[in-house]
Amino acid sequence: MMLDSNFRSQRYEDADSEWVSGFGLGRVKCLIVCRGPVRKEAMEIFERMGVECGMLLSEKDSIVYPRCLAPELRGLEYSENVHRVPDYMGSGQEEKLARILQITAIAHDNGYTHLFAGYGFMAEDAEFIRAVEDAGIIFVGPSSSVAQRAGAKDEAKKLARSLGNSVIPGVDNISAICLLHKSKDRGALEVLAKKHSLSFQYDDSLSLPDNADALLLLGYAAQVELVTIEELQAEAGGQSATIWKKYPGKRIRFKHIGGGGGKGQRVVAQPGDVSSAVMDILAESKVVQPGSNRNFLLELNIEISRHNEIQIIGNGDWCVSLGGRDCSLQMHEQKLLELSLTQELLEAEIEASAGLAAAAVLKRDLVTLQAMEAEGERFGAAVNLDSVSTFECIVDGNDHFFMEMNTRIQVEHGVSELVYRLCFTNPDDATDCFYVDQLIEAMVLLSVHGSRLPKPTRVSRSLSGAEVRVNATNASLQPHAGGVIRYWSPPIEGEIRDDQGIGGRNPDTGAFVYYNLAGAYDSNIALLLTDGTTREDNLERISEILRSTELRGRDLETNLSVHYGLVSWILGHGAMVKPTTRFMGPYLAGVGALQTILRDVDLDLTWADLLGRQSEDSAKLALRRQQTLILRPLGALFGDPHLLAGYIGCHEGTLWSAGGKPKFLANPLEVLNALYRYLNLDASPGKPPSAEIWSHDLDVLREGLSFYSDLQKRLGTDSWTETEALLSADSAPKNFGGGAELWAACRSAHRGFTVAVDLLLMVPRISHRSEFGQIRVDDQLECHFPDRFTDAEQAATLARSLVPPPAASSDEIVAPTGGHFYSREAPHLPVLVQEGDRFEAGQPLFVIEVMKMFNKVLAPFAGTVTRVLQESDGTIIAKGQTIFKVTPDEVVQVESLEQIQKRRHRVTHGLLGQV
Amino acid sequence: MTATSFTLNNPLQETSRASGAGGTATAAKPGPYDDALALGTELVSKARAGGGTDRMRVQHSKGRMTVWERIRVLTDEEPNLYFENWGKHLDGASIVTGILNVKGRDVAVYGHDFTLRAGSIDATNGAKLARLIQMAGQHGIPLIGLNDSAGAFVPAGVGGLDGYSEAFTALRKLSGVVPSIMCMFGYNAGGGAYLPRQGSFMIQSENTFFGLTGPAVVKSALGEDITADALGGPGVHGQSGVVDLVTPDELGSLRTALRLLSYLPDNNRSSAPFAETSDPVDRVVHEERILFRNIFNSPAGMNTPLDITLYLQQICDHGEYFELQPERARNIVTAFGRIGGHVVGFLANNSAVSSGQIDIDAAQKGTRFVRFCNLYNIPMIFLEDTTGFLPGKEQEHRGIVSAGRRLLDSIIDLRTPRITLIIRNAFGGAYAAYNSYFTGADLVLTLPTARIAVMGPAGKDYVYKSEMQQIARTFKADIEGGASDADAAASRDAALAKLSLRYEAELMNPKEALALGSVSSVVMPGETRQVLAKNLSFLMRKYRPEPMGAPQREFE
Repeated sequence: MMLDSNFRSQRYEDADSEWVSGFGLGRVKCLIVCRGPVRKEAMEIFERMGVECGMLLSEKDSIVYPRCLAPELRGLEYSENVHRVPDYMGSGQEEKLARILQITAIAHDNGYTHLFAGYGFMAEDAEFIRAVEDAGIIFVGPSSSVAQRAGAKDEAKKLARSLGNSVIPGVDNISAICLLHKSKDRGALEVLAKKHSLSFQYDDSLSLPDNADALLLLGYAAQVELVTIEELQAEAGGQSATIWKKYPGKRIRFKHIGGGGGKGQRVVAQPGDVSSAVMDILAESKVVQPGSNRNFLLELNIEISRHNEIQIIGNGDWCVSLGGRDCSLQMHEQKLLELSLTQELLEAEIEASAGLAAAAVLKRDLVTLQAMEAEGERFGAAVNLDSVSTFECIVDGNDHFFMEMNTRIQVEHGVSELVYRLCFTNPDDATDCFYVDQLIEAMVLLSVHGSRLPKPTRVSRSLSGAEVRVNATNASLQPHAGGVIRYWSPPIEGEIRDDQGIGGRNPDTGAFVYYNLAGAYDSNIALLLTDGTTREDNLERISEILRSTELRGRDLETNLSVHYGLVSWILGHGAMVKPTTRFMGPYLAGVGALQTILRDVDLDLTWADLLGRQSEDSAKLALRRQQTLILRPLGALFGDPHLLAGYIGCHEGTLWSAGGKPKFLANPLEVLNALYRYLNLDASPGKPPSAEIWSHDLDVLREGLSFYSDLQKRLGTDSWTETEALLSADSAPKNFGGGAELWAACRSAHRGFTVAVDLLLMVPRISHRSEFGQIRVDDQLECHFPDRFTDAEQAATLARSLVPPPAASSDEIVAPTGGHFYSREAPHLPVLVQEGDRFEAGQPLFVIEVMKMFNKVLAPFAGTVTRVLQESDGTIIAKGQTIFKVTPDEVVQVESLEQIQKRRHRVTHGLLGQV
Repeated sequence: MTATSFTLNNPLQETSRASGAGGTATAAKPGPYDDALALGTELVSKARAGGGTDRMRVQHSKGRMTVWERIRVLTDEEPNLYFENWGKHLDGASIVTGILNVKGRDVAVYGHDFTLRAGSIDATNGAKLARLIQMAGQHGIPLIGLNDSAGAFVPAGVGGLDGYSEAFTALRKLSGVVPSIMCMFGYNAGGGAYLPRQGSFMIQSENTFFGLTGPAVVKSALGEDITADALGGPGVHGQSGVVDLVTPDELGSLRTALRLLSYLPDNNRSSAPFAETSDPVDRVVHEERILFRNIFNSPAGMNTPLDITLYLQQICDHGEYFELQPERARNIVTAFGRIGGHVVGFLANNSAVSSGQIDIDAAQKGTRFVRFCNLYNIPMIFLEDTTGFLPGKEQEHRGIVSAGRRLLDSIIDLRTPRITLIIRNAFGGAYAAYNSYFTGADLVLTLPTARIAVMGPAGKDYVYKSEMQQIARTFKADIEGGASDADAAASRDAALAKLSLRYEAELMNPKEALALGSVSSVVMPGETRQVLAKNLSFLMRKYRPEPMGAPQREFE
C-alpha cells in the first residue's frame, strides 16, 4: 500500500499530489498463477491497492485430497475469478507448453491485463514469460529478456566477469579452450570444419570461444571428435594450476555438463589426481566414445561458505540494492532461517562490539556487503532489470563470489521489506514523494508505470528483519506428508505470518478449519517474520513467536521445535554468529547425540532414586511437593531433543557452568522458572490449563523465588555461588538480623528448595556427555563442532536416532513414512525387488515420494521377499503400512524388555550425581 | 525445627498477610453472625478444594487435568454449579455438576473429581448426577460428561451400585431428549464405562482406558496378560465403534467436543444451530465436474473407486464437514456438514474403501447415525454409490441379515427431511434400502453417472436368459463340430463380453428408474450443491422440529 510522507496508507488515485496520483493503477486486473504463502500475500496486497485479481486452482488444492481445499477460497471476493487447471505447472516439457497455452488463454478470455507468478517455477522461465508477453499481457516481474540474460547460469557468469564482478574462478568451456589451442583463429576453425565436412558458419557477432563452441556442437551432432580426452586432461591440469596458484590448498570441482545428483562430479585436491578425475567424470557420464559432448565445468570448490544474497530492484534504467540477506542456515536444499544483512545493521553491531575481536570481523563483512551491493546494482543495470531480482553470492571468509541471479521475487523477500522501504520523489519537487513498503506492490507499480518511476532512495525501517520457514518435516528435517492441522494459535503481536490462509477461520462459524498437509507440493507451510532493533532483539522476537505458537494436529510433524531450538541456541552463542551452509548437518548430529542419551533416561527411576536417598521425613515431603513442578518440565524437555538443544544452547554458561562437573550459577527455582518459560508452560491468561504450570506448582515456584530474592537482598549479594557458600555456615552472617532461629529457618527453606537440584543437573550432564555442549563459537564468530558431529558416518548415525524407524516385526518391510509408493526408480526401469528376490541390508527396496522427494527405502536387514503386498505405482501408502512380507536371513535380535530396562538403569543412574 | 529439616516456605516474608481485606469493616466483637459467615466461607471453599493439593498433584503427575481445569477449557465463563456440598463430607461427593455458558449456549456439564475418592460413585452421588441429567432434560439443554471415575466406591457397598442404577436410568431417559457428549479421561471401569456409553457420542483421548473391567481382573479371571491400552484404549474402542472420536490428549477431546456441539441441537424439539453462510449456494461447483470427470474417465472407468469425502468437501459450506467414527468402517462415511447454513447428516457410501460394500460394521455405524439424526430433527442426505451388502460366510455367520435390517429400518423410520443423491452404483437390496422413495424419501436425485439396477454386471445371466442359453449351445456345437477347446472358449467369451456391454448400456443407467418415478430428476455435475441447497431449504421451511411421537417398533 502506498504511503504518503506521513506513512499513512492511501490509494495512488486519491493522493493530493498530482504527480503521485498519476501512478494510479486504474484498470489493472491481475491473474495470480502461483500458490504457496505468496499467493495469499499477493491477494491481500492487490485488494488493498484496489486491484482486481484472479487465481488458478489446481486439482491438488481441490479434489485430489480430502480436507485440502485451498484456504484462499474461503474469503474470496470474486469466485468467478477462480480458474481451474490440473496443476500449476506441467511435469515435463510437453505438459508445460500445454499449461502455458492454457494460462495465456485464461488470462486473455477473462480480461486480465497483468499476470503475477510469485516465486513459482514459472516466474523465471523465459519461455513462459515470453508467451505471456506475446499474448499481450503484462508480466508482473522481470521481463523475458531479463530472465533470458540473467537466468542462464553460464551466460550470467560471463556477464558478471565482464563487469568486473567477483565470480568463482574456473572455466565452463574447457572444450572450446582446447579446440582453440589447436585452431587458433577463424580461419583455422573453418579449415577444421571443412576437413570434417561440418556446415560451420563463423558468426562475427559472437566471440571466438563462442564460435568454437558452436563448431563443437556441430561436431557432437555428427559424432566427430574435435577434442580428445588427453587434450582435456592436459588443459584441466593447466587450469587447475592457475587456480591453485591463487588459492593454494583449496580443492577444485570438476562437473560434467550432463552430471547431477552426485554423478559425473569429482572434487580434486592435488595435481596428481586431475587426469584420473577427468576420466572418471567422463566415464560416469558415459561420454568416452568419440564425438560425445565432454565439456565440463572446472571451478574452485568453496568448502566453507555462507550464502548471502542482495535484493535488487530496477526499472530498466536504474537499479537499486535493498541490502542483503543471510540464508546460510539450510538443510536438504531448504532454507530455514533468513536474516537481514544491511550496512546499517553491521555498523550498529560493529559499534556494539567495539573492543572485541568480532568488531574486526564485522568490519570486513561490511566491506564485503558493500562490494556485493555495488556488484548487484551494476549487474542489474547491465541486464536492464525492470522489476525485482536477487543477486546471489557465496561468501568464504572475506572472499565473495557471484553465483547466479534469480529473476523473481523470492520466498524471503519479506526480510528485506522489514528493513528498507522505497521512497519515490518527484524529480521536479523534492518535497513531493511517496513510499512503498512491499516489493510486490513495487513490482505492480513497475509493471504499470515502469520508466516513469524515478530512481527511488531506500529508507531504513527496522535495523533487523528475520524469517523462519515452517515446514512439514520431522525431527531430522525430512519431509513428512499427511498430517492434518487442527489448531493454530492466532499470531502474536508483531508476528507476520504468511500461512496461505490456513490459519483463517471458517467465516460462518469461526471454527478453525482442519487442513491436510497432503504432500502434493514442497513441504513449506508458512513463513514467520518479525523485525527488531538489533539482530539479537530480532531473534528474541522470533524466539518469542516460536515459543508461543501452538500448532496441533493429527500425525502432524513440523520443524517448529527445530527452529525454536536453533534460534535459542544462536541467542545463547551471540546473535551475530556466522554459521555456514554446512552448519545444520553437524548441528543435527549434535541433537542426535542428545537423543541417544535421552532415549534411555527414565525420569520415574530418577525420582525413585532421589526419594530413596532422603532419610528425613521433611525431606521426603519437600521432595514430593515438588514432584510435578520438576518432573513435568523435565519430561517435556527430554521428550524433544531439539527443545533440549535450544535450552542448553541458550543457558549453558549463564544458568549453569559447562563441563564435566556442572554447577548452577543461579538458584534452582530461577532455573526452573526459565525452563517453564522456555517450554511455554509459564502461567498466562487465556491458556488452557494443560498448557501452563499447574497452580500448586506455581505456588511453590513463587514462594521459592521470593525466598531467594529476599534472602539475597538481606545477604547483599547477587551471586548464587556466594549465597550458597554463606548458607553452608551454621550461623548467620553479621547484620543478617532475626536471630539464629530465622537463619535456621532460611537454611531449612534452602534445603527444601534444593532437594531436587540433582534432577535439574541432569541437563548439563547430558550436555557434557553428548558433547553437544562442546559446540562452540570462536571470537571470529565461527562455529566449531566436536569431530564426531562432522565425521560423515558418525553424524549420519547420530542424526538417524532422531527419527527411529517404525516398529516392524522382522518378517515384514513397512513404509517408514506415508507418501506415494513406487516399486521402481523410474517408469522405464525394472522393479527394485520382486517376489522371491533376495536382498542385502542397505539395498533399495522401493521408493516413496513425499512432497516431491523420491526417497529410496533401504532394507534394514538381509532377507528374501516372500510376498509383495503393494504393487501399483503411485498409490498412497500410510506410515507403517506393510509393503513386503519377507524371510530375514537372520532373525533380528530384538532387545528384551529386561535388557532395555538394564540399559535405562545404567544410563539414568549415570546421570545422577551420587549413587 | 531441627537442624536438618526441609521446608518449602519463605521465612523472610512478612507474616502479617493481609487479613479481612474485604472492604466491610469487621465488627468490634464477633457475634453469631460472624460464626455463620465463617461456616459459609468454609463450606464454599471446601467444595472447590477437591481432594487437596496432594491428590491434585497425583492427578497432574499422570498428565491429567482436574475437573475444574477441564471445565475451564470448555468455557471462559464462570460455571454455575449445584450441590457443591453434597455428601456426608460436604465436599460435593466427588462429582461436579452445573450449567456452563458455551458461546452463548446453556450446556449441562458433569465431571468426576478424581482427586476425591478417585471420582467414584458412592451411595449418594449417583443421585446428584441423576438430578443434573434430569435438569438437562427438563430444560432441554445438551449435556457434556467429563468422565474420570474408578467406578463404584467399594466402601459404600451396595449404595454405590444403587447410585449407578439411578444415574443409568436418568441418562437412558435423557437419551433421545437432549444430545450428550461424553469425554473419556483417566481410567474408567464397570459402571464408569457403561454410563458414558449411554450418551450420544463418546470421545476418548490417548493414554486413557475404559472397559467392563481393568487388566487386573482380566488377569485374575482369565489369566490373560494384557495392557490397559490394548484392552480398552482409544485404538480398541475407535475400531469397535464404542467411541466415536479419538484424540491425542484431553485438550484435543475438549476442543473436539465443542466442535461436535456446534452441529448439535439443544434438544429433540429444536433444530441444529443454523449458521448463515457466506459461501454462495448458487455457485456452480467446477471442482465437482472435474472430480467426476477424472474419476469416471480414468483408465478403470466406471469401476474407479471414489473417496466420497472429496465430493463432500465440494458441496458443504466452505468445504467443511465433520466425520464421525472416522477410524472404522469407512466403506460408509457418517458426517455432519452444513449446506446453506443448515446442519445436514450425511450417510455416504465410500467406494474408496472395500468398494463401498456395506458390511456389518458399516451397517451398525450407519444405523446409529440415522437414528440420531431422526431423534434430533437433523435432515439427512444419502449419497449412494454401493454395489450392495457384502456377501459371504463370515458376514452371514456374524448376522449381516440383522445388521442390514437395522440399517433399513432406521431409514424407514426417518422422519426428518431426507434426500438421496445417487452418485453411481445403486444395485439390488442396497438400492431399495438406501432411502428410496418407497422407504419414505422426500426426494431422490441422480447424477447421470448412476447405474441403477437389480443386479450389477452379473445380472445379465438373468436378464438375457435365452441369449445365455444360445451362447452355451453354440459353444457345445462348436466343440462337437471339431473346433479346438481354446477356439470355442474364445468365441464364447467374446459373446459373453458383448452381452455384458449390452447389459451395461441397456440397464446400468438411470433411465428405467426415472421412467418409473423411482428417481425424480437428473442433476448435472457441478449443480448438486445448488439443487441440494434449494431442496433442503424448501424441506426445512416446511419441517417443524418436534419430539418423536411414533410407536416403538419391536426391533431397534
